[in-house]
Amino acid sequence: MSGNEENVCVVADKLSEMCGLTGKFITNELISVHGFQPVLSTSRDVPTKFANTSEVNVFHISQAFALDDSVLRGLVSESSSIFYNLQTAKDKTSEFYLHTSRSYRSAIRATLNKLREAIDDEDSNSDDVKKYENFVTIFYSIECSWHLCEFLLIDSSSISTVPNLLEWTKFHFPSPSQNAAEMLINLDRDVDVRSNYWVTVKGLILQGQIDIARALLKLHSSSETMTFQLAEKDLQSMPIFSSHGGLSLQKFRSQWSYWSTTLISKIDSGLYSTEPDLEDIMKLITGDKATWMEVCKDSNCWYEHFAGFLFFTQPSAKYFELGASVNSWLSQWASSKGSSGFTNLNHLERMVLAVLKNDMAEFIHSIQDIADNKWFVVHLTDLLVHCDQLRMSNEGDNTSLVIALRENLIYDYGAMLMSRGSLWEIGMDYLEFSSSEGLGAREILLQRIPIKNDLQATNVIAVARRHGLAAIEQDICRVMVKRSMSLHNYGNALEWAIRSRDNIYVTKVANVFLFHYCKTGKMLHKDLLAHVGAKMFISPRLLFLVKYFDFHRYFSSRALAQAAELLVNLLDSKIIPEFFWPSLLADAIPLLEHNEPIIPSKETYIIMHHLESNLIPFIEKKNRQRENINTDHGDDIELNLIDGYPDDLVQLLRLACARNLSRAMIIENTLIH
Amino acid sequence: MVSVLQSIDSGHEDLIHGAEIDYYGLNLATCSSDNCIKIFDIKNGGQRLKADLKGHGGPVWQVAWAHPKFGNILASCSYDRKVIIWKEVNGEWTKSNEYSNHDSSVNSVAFAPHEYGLILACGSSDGSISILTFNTESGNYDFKKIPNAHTIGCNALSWCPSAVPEAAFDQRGKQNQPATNGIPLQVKRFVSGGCDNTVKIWKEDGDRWVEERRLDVHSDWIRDVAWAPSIGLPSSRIASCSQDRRVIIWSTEDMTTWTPHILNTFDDVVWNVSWSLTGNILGVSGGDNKISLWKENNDGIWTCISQDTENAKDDQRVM
Repeated sequence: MSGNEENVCVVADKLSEMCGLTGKFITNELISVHGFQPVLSTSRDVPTKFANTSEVNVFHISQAFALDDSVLRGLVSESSSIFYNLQTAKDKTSEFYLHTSRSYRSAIRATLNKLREAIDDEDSNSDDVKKYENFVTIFYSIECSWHLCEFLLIDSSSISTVPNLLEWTKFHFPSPSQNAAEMLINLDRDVDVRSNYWVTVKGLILQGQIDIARALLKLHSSSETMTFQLAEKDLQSMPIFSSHGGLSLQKFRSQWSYWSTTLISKIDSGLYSTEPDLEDIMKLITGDKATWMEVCKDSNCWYEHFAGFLFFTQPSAKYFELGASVNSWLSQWASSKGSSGFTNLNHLERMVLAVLKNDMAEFIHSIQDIADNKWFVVHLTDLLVHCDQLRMSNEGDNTSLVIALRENLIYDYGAMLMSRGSLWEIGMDYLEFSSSEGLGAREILLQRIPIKNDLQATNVIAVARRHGLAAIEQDICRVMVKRSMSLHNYGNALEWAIRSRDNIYVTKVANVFLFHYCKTGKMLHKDLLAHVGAKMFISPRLLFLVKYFDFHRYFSSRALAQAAELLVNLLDSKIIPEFFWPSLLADAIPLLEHNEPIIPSKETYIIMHHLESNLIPFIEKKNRQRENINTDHGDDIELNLIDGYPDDLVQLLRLACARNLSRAMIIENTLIH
Repeated sequence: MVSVLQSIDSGHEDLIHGAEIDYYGLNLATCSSDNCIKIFDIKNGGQRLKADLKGHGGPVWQVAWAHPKFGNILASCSYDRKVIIWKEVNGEWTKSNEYSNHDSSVNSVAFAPHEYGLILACGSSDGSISILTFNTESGNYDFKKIPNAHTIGCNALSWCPSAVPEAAFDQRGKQNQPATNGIPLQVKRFVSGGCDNTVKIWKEDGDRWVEERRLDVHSDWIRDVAWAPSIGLPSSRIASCSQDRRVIIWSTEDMTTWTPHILNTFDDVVWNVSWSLTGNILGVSGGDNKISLWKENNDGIWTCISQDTENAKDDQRVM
């Protein structure tokens, strides 16, 4: 599940084998590698000796990432909301921390259930089953050691260490309780002929479940015999230490020593010798070393019977006193197993050992090796730092150390999520609570979230806004303008450009609308233009476009007076793009030539003024450019435009102006009289 | 565990010298000694050749992507002394501009941070560096040249991120900077490394580019320089690597005093250095055919986070 796998990736590439390789970062999580030969000043412009020898490949290399698995995603998102609550909660009491710890653990347990379901659903040989089985091992270990940390470190109200350890042992080694329950339910009188009877009774004793053991003993066919009766009496009278109330520690010790001395003398005088199993049980209770070593031989791991041993030998032990007990127990256990101690411990056993010895530096170090993309170490460290229970060393103040550790872990976790596909939004939340670097990294990483469509862009923008990163919004809008333009989706481009509030981008898109109109006489995306509203003031070009569109609407709805007024205002507005003069003045012709004169003389003069001072210079300029076309590309679109207007546009305009002016003057002068 | 996520057959006929992913990681551009540039769509783990660009008359050393807010734009530089800017218009990649003002091979191209506009720096074996700035009105690139930036040749360039904080009292050179969202942009800077064994920092001063600092520690040609991305810290960092087998990390608080820190002396020449996106990990690759990753711990000590690869088989390339 963990740890010491080589952190080395071998890239099988023939070419790189021959020439060498280089690599560079693409994202925080991805490295690109390809065959490489350095270029020197002596490099010549000839094919290299590797030309046409083998495939030329580029490799993208990355840390294995488990958390985007469909089952684990649920855990990632659920834990992120627990994490978020922990950071933002106002009232942080010890109950709150305990509650938070339990929420994390219940999320892990839910994940374990889902993993087991997934295993059942799959064909047993598939790769997914192996993967999920591996996840089960990983998350079982995580839950197991988290549970331990919970009552030893996080639950400040808990003062009874040994009973809690017994509960924890019972939970993780449930078979004695399960077997006992089954036997008791059936009330089977012949229970003792079952092969697992004594194993179960001893198992219960080893977990300190004296009462249930007694109940089982009563089911034994010899329960009426002297020895069984004696055992029942002895067990019933056994003093039990309780940290709340009852006996004081001193009183308990004297009672216990009296009671156990009596028991030992009974064993020594052979009172239990007729029932060797009962005798074993009594020896276990008195802490007889040889008997304990015997049961350790069949144990699954070093801590299976540790809590039971404490229960009978040091029931009042406190967490901080456990170190010495753990060491002596472990060497005893190891010698009974015939192994040399720590070397054969698996990862979970070492994690449990580190916690029980209160060696948090070692514990945090070992849980970083778990192949869970640091999910465990991030969340547990954060919680322990919050409730001020993380001591990395016994010397001096280690506050700054653990704070830096927490920040680094959260930073790396958040940055990793942000660089991995669809979990980036969750990553943002983690970075927010990491460090000042995290806040900066958030901005860099958010900009690089791949945007494949409008919806994703909108989504990234919403997140950027929520975190006050306005510059990102503007850049994304600009990117979307460019994309929409290259797809000829001009309506979309205009919407994004308006959102970007960038005059240059808006002008570019508005120009496309105006060019299109000049060329075809048709307006693009009329609905959109009708609803630009106040945003038209972002750019003078957009303002012109929208006003010109209004002119069209007046004109087509026969509101000619308004159309004419707007047209003249536009002519005088100084926001007309040069290339649009021919088109705009051509629009004046039907108004000038209308049956009923609409344009008064003063306005007609304005039209004539712009005809001479704007349109004619423009036409001359374009003609000059056309002559120089071979030397200068110029703007193709603008050049084409002039072709749409015959040279006699000027003639027509002049005539129309003259005719309208004469009619207008007659009317105006008539009115005066 | 580290593993190969995707393998892309570039289809080039000879070694590739550069493989660059665009801003969003959706497209890959490769350039090769076969004089060609190829562009692949690598969305969703696939590989689709979008363009095969032929325009250079010699090996193409490097390619660089512009920020997508300028459209899909790629710059390339080659032994043929040219820099070509390619553009995707209506799904077709075509040459949009060509710059041929260098007298020798052009080794490096790098686009400036996008906040400054569309600006490209080019470093050449003729020892000079050109800075091309796109002029939105004319549709062409204006250029400025730093002659004799590095004797014998400039090998590598890297731009200073736009958001590096500057000492508050230093107001020089800020007056002519454009502003985005009301925040004045920093003075434009980049770092270059060359065959004169020096690392140089250049800054824009009015309409000229001037040498701001010259960093002299390496004892052989500089092969690569990389300015670390800024994540809002008051300090700034540059990594440089050289044929003297050393990687140096230069750091500064005020852009004036640069303190060198020798990351490591490697067994062989170091060819490339590359920062992760958030600038907390440095990738180093060199003549020993290994890529190693380096990270600074809480005590400011740089350690290699990819394991030692001594016992890996000799004929395999490892990281």
